[in-house]
Amino acid sequence: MIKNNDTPTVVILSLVAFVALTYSFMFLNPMNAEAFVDRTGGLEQGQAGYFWMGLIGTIYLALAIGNIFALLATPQECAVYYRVMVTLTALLFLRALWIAMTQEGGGGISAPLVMQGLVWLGTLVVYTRSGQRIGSNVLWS
Amino acid sequence: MFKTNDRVVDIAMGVSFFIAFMYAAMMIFDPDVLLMRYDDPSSNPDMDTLKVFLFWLGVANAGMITGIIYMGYKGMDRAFFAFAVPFLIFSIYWNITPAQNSGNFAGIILVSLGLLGLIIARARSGLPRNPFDIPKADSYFGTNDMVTKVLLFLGLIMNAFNVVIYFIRPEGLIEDSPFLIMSAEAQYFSMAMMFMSLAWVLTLLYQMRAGYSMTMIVVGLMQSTLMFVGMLNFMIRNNFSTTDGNPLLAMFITTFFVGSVILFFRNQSKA
Repeated sequence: MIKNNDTPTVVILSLVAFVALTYSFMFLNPMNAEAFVDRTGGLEQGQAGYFWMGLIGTIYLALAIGNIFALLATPQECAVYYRVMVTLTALLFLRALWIAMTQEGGGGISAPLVMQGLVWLGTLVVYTRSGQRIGSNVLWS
Repeated sequence: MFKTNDRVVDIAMGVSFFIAFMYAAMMIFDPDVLLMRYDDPSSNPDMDTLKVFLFWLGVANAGMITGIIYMGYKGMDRAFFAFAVPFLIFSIYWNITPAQNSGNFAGIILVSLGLLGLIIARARSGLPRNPFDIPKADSYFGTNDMVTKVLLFLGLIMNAFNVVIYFIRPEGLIEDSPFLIMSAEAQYFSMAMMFMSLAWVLTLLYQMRAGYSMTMIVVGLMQSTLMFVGMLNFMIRNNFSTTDGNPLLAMFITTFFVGSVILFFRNQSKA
């Protein structure tokens, strides 16, 4: 059933899918979203904020399902998906890093920053192990 | 699709899929919509309690749609019908009281349509007509893998325990869970959890005789993952408080999840 026969890739994709599903439930369910906002330090949150959180939750849900699809396909079929994931997670990590660095009082290493870094690292490992890195199969001419 | 080349089967399964998908999405992500439509002004139950039960029902529907997608690629599977048909019959029965109280019969009509779709698809798919004509496998659950066998037996025992305990002490689940508040409605909603376990008992009994089903392992994996993620979110929401939860329920959900993951990864290469 699983066409990807590289065990580390299967483990990483499964874990990232699980984390994405957890976050999607957190953002899509109003009670969970409220608790999430409270834990971020009491930011002001209105109906519009929850609307956008719901949208992000939907994207997380799609990514969780996308990871499952990636498990059921060969690495060659997933080349573009892996590139999108690496770009997305790199940008998310940079954003989390930027927020941590520019916070008043110096910020610090927070759980979301570490999670974003780990997810980026995970997708990089998956991408590298698939043998699909740009340069190995993209011709620039 | 469904390895039948029959357009009627595709359409009938498509109708069942669409209805289950709609209910799964509503029950998991926006249960308020359903609760508002079945509101009985004479009562005032705790809505958060009802939402917890609706979430579980949504999870059952999400499992069903996963099973339909899986069968779309791999072919029809009797074990799925041994779960889905009784579950939908129980759901129709369960819907009668809320429909009578609110005058809203949409749920009964839609779930009946979903059931009809499954019955038509099953009748045309070439599976044996008599549901009780079950071939006997060489061994229990049709496998010599001890881990698979033990986990499936464990699933059967735990679900049977859920059913039996409901009849002995129907209020037990709500009273033992600090996050659930007792009301006549909550008590009625908790009956649906027993129906879900009963449907699992039926399909596991079928599999014990005929051999394990990869379709149902995928259904179980989907349901257990959603339940586990839901539980995780509840724990995060309550700052991992040890006093707000139900340890027995948490153990059941965790065992269901871990067992399903092991079953899936041990057997997926044979599917």
